[in-house]
Amino acid sequence: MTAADGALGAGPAPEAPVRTLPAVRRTLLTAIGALFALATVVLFFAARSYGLSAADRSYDHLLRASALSMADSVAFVQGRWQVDLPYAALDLLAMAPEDRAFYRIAGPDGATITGYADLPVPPVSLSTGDADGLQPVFFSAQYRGAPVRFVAVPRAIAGGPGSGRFWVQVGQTRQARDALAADIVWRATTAIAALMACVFGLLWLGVDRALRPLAQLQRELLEREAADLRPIASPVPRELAQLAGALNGFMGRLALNLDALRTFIAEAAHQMRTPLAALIAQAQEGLDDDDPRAQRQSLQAVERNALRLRRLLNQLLSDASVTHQGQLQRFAPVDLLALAREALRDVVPHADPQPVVRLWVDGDPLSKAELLAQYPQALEARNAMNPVLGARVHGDALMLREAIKNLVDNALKHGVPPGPEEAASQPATVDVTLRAVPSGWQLEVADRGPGVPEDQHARLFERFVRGPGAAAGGAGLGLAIVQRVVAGHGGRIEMAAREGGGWRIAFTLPAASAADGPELASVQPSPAERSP
Amino acid sequence: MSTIPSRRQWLQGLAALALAPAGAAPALAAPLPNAAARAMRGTTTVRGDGATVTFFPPASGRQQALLSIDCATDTALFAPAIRDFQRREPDLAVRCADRQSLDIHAQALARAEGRVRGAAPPLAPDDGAPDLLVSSSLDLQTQLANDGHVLAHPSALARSLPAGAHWRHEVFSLGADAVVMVYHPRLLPPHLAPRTRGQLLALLRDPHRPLAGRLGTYDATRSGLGYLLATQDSRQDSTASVLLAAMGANQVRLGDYIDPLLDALELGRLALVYNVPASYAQARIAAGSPLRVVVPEDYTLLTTRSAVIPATAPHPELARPFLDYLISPEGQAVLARDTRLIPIRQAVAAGTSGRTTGIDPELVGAGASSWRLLAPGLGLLVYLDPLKRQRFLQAWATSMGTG
Repeated sequence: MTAADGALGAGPAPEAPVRTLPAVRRTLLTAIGALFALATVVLFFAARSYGLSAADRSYDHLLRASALSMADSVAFVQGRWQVDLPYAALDLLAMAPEDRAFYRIAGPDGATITGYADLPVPPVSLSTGDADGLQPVFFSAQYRGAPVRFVAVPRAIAGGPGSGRFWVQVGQTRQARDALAADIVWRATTAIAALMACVFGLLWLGVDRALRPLAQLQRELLEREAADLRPIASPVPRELAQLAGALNGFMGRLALNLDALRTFIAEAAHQMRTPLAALIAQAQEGLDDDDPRAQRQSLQAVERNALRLRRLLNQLLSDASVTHQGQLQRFAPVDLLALAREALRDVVPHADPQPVVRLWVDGDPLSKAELLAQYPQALEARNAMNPVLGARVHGDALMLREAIKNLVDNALKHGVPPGPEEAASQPATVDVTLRAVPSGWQLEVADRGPGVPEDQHARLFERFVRGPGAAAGGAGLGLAIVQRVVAGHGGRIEMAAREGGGWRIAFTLPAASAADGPELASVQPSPAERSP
Repeated sequence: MSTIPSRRQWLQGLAALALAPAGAAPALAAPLPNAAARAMRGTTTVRGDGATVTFFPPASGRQQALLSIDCATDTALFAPAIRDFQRREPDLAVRCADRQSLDIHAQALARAEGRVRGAAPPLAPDDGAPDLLVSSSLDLQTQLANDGHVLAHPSALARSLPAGAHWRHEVFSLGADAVVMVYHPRLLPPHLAPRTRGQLLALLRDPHRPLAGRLGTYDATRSGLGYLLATQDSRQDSTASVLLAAMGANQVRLGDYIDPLLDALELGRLALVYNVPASYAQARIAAGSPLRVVVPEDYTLLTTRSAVIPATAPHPELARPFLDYLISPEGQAVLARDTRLIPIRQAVAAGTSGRTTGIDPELVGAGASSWRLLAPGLGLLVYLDPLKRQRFLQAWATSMGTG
């Protein structure tokens, strides 16, 4: 198995601390519990108010009935008030068995006819106004050391003295009322409390039930093999569907990445095995051969294969560093021209047959001919003479340099003009052009090679995919690296056939804004192995 | 003074106070039951100010405290209970003033009003304020409580009493007394004796007028108990006024105490006395009197002796244990045996469910089915209304031919 699989399968991963919020159950129950407590208090006071008024209403009826029956017993006969209290008048009030009762019947002048003369007087005057419109008046007052509820019933008697108006006042202490009110309040409060307890209990169960899918999800994830990245099987509530979907999507991407990684490793291993096998075969052949010429041929083959292997390794390293650098996202203003120059210095072999690589800058004060004639001194001169061209872009110097190197390297590999077999030994001719375009800076690499058919353009940027008829020694990583770098910088890639034969590929990066400042990131040498 | 006070002396003392004594007091002393006679031994009695005051010296001889009782019941009948209580509290002396219930309540009211006003009312010089009021006028006791002039006594024992035996734990019924008719069998042959009020009415309307001038009853205008019984009769019986008129037509003799009427009955001057607390008659019968008791079968009033602790009591702490004793099973047993009161719990049971277990079989007699227990409560206050009372007594006196 691959090393990646080994790492994934090795023991439980160390658990990262999880930032927690208060438990859902506690949050819910606390909030709702507080609401319930508040509701209980409110309901208690409502019940208390209702209980008091209900108790007052029921006993006020008795009080009024008592007063009315007393009023009916009042007569004015031969100049004298007569009162023949019915037994029921006070016996009615004995419905409240523990309460004391007081009454008073007063005449038009307010003088007591009979009863308790010192009863508190009603708060409204009962001696004036329209007799028919007068209603019984209920009021509370303190009498003989106890709170007493009173009713005063006004009546008029025909032929009576003065206005003929008299009134009957009956009062009763509040014991039974208060007991009834307390009973109502107690029952209501008990019912409310019981209801609240039931609702709270149901809520508790409901929360428990609602959270059960989460627990199941947790169990499923815990019990899973580390390599098992299938979508979540446990059913989840609708509210969690998005989370589960996101998790599934994440795991899907992770699975794809892992697959890609496995493929990459397998491919890389496969790519390295071929030159290595050839290397070993050539070396053995050389050892077996006694002929020095044949031996030399073998050694040359060994060298060729070793170079291929080195290039492959360089590409892998480049790919790895681009990937790493891309993750870091340390962008700064860089000078694209300086990067191109450095890339060329790194990538263009100095051994024979030396290829022709020309660097053009659009709007260059020097003519192309001069540069052509003086290569590579012209390149130096150009850079020395015009250091303030300012092809500044916002990006990562290392990544961009790797991209340029790969483009140029590709052009050098594949840019040999098609022709008879011997032509292959001819050095390739590559033109690198940096020009300003409306959307930024464009760097174009053009060769005279056979190019790539249109229908394969899209696949060119996949790893380990190589152009048709590509010479041996490529791993198919170059354009994949370029594509990743350019995409990471928000640029785009164009490719096309070159007029006059050949193929050109260019990438365009947005120019760095002036706000990025004049300071240019120092261009460091590539960590990739320099050409000898 | 170690002699038994003669009832004649009492009555003379009381008669002197009465504005117009109804009828001549008989010259005979009423015989006392043995228990009562024993209990009165060793007491001293003084008279005056409308009361007969009996002093019960402490059982131990060392007086530490004095409980003062105003008692509208025959002290002698009440004495066994006092003596029994003194055995439990050997250092307690008891002073028992025997007064008319109207007097008791007038005085209690005067004291209470004085307390309310913060001024001491003019009181009788020979005694202080009572600590306990015992009276058969349940209505007056209830009125005192309603007006806030009594102390509540919610002891554990008091709380165990059934409803109907107390009001607000302020008015306590100590025991019940059936209200009966008493007749002399020589003057009214038992087979002619009325079993119901209807039969009494028929007897009164009999053209031969067998009871003319030979019928006695309470004077409702002078006796608190008499007024209470008369009002209850008018409440219980819609023909009560007819009966009253018939009594008036038969020249009924009225008394403000029951004893003179019973004396007259024993002497043969009366043939029948209407509305007699049974305990009085039974005491006489137990002492050998030939009188006979009829328990009215249409309805039988159960009147009560009740007790309150007035708010003006100087020693309520002495009254409370005595009150507890009176309503305790021991006190109730003594009251039942020696005072012949129906224990209050049995009386309530009889009044509410007609159950007569524990009630003297003599009283259950012909099987009285309708016991009407007078329970303390607001209803009783109606007849205490001055205008109502005036109106009622006017009608009563008119019926009786005295108005």
